[in-house]
Amino acid sequence: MIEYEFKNTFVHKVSPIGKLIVLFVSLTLAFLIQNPIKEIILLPPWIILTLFFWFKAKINVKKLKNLGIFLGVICLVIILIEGFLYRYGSLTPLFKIGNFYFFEKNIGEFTLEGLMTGLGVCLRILCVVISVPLFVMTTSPEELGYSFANVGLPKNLVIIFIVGISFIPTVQKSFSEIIDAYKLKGIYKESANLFKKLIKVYLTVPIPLFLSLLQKGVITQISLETRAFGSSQKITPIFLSQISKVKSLIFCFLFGTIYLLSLFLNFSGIIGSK
Amino acid sequence: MTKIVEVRNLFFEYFGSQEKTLKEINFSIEKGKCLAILGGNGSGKTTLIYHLNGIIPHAIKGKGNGIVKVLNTEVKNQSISEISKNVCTVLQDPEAQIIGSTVYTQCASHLSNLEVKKEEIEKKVKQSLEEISLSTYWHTNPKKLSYGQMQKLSIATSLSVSPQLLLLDEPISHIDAKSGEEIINLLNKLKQQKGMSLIIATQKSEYIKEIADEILVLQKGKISHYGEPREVFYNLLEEKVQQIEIPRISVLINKLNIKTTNTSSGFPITVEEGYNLLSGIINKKKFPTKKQVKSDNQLPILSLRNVSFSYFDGTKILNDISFDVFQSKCLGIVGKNGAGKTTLARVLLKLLKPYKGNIKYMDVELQKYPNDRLYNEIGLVLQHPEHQLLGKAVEEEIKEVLKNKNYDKNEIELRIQESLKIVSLEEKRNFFSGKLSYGEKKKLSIATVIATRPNIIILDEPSTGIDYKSRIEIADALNKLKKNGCAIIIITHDMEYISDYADEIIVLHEGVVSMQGTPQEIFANIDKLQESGLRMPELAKLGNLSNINFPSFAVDKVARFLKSKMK
Repeated sequence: MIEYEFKNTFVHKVSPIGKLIVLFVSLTLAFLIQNPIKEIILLPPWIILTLFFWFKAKINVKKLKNLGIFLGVICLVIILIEGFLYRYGSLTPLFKIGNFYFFEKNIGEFTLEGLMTGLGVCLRILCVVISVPLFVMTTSPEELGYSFANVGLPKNLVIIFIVGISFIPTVQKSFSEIIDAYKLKGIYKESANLFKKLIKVYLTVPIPLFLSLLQKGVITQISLETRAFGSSQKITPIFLSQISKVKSLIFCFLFGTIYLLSLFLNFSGIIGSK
Repeated sequence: MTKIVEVRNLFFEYFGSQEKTLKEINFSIEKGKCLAILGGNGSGKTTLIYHLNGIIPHAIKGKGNGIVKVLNTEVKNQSISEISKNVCTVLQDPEAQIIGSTVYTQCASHLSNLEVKKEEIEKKVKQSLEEISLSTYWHTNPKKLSYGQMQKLSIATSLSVSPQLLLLDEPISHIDAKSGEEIINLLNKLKQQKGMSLIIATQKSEYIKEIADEILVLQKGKISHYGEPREVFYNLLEEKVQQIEIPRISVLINKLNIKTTNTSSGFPITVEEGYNLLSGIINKKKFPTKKQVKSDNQLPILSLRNVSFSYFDGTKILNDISFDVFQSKCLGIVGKNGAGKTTLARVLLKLLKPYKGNIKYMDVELQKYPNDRLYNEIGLVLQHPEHQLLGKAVEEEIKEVLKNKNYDKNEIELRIQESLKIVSLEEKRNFFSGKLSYGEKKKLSIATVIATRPNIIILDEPSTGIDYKSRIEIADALNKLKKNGCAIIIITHDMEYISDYADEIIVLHEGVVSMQGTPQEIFANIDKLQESGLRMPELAKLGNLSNINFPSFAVDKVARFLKSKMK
């Protein structure tokens, strides 16, 4: 679903490390801004900028349809829960579906403060989640690895990183085959409760999964060895896109400006102070 | 001529192993020639390949002696990366060799490790991808290619460094016939046009006779036969060696007791040669094809009508599939990689739900049939046996299944004995399943399935990765089950295997049933079979050439049939 796709776009030509920094920065932003009003004012510009670069990167939105639906449902649930259950400070009711008191709070009443808190949480989730495709779908594991190598990361670690990423689909495929085999053997029952299923999965699936991955891993290792993996500590970087310093600077400058401005407004007390 | 490989008195033993994996190996290969190494599982083929690319002794250690020279230099005196500039290796599992996120980065990986300049890499990758017709896939994710294309990509990665020697370890065992044929043609081209030397380790003789200049047969780590293909196959037949697959046409001629000459020189190894020999001595008479499957008004045990399946992203995998499965019959579902065969097996077991169509099992809607009962009555043997085993002792593997299905202690013991007997694994009852050979693991996964005495057994690619002897043993086990009333569904791209055992064949092509009928009906239509990316079995080819309808394509039955028609 969220996997690298080669395209000749502005974002694909941005330095992988620059994109990785933006991903981490979006995480910090979501954690540092903690007040609903600040969240509602400061996070949308970041989200809009990210979505603008989604557009520039020609990200295949159809592939993310299921993720979008999942996020939509989660956000709706959060807004409803916060809207009805929020109980701190003075509350402004927006509408009522009945009177149901729970620890002295009428949880049948949907409040403005609850709505804002819910919206704030949703914006924080959105801020982090939409940064992931911008990085993952425009940066190949090799590009990221070679960028690390350029800044001095040892070749062995770079290759381990690339191989690790390339193994994810193999792990998923093997895992699902083993679960199917277990269902047919009667070991893993769909009708069993979640706890029993988890015990079965955690206790028994790792053995065949490990054995099967070990076998694949040995072939991968031999294949790497015979392709001169151990030749020297250097490799020729084979970037798919022509990394552009100017584009990288524009990308980092725009995100950096919004980030610093948001932090300034968050901590200076200009907005959101009571 | 220049010797490209020279091996003298090679012995090798892995650490912890109780016996030598290679014993007294002596051979050499000249530049521009192709040597095929034939042998069963565990015969030492891969170990020998590892000696030639330097994996042994540089990456895998063990006790060994002898001389291994590649391009006149001893392998032990060069590093693996130095060797890799002239010797490239293509391994069995195409998927496990791929780590690149695009075809370009994968193909460039070897050159990148050798620190070749970027411009040079691009030029060489372009050339090698063009050579194997993959240049249009430059930016494609290689994991989205078919198995055949993945294997071609592995070859392209090797070609990019312009090696003098290409080592291939079971290069075609995981891929369909058409892709296999394309790869053999490509290798033939490399040998003839570029003078590249090839060493191919394999269990399948089917393609080898088309490319090999010499064959070396390994049995229990020792060279048992070494020479020209005709001579080797002749001697294997004369000595009644059972572990090695021999071209069916050669076996047929041998069974018919047709004396060619006293030597191997006139011995046929291709269908055309066999036909020329046979055409003068049999009465050509066309016999009507037998319709075996629906002759006895039997009711189907499983019935599919207009079944269609697609994944959530809308990719259609199966479209309008209809067929019946009968008790005591073997149904073959054939098709190239990605035709939808494995998806169909999962649909039959309710592991995937079709969006259209109707499936009835024992006259009950499959979706309404309780899972616990269904999984007792329909068994699936997966392609990779390690996914089906728990990593316990052989008997424990079967016991675990039966315990989960709530059988009592005596019944469990009885069924363990019964199922191990059917697959001939009684002697390995206390062995750890991880220590079994690949063929034995496959037999054990069959035993875990038949222990519940199912009405239907579905086998996904049962012949892949196993040697000839194990294939025969598995087929014998299936025949026993068939006689007991069990319906067998074999999903495969191995046409020789299916031609021996199937009563009815369904050809799947791009998710649609393109042909359906008895083997005789299917193999009469060469064009359609080729369109579906499949290869005609040898004896079916012989039947078509000689215009005779064989009642079956198993060698024994064809031999009996032809004996009755001989002048």
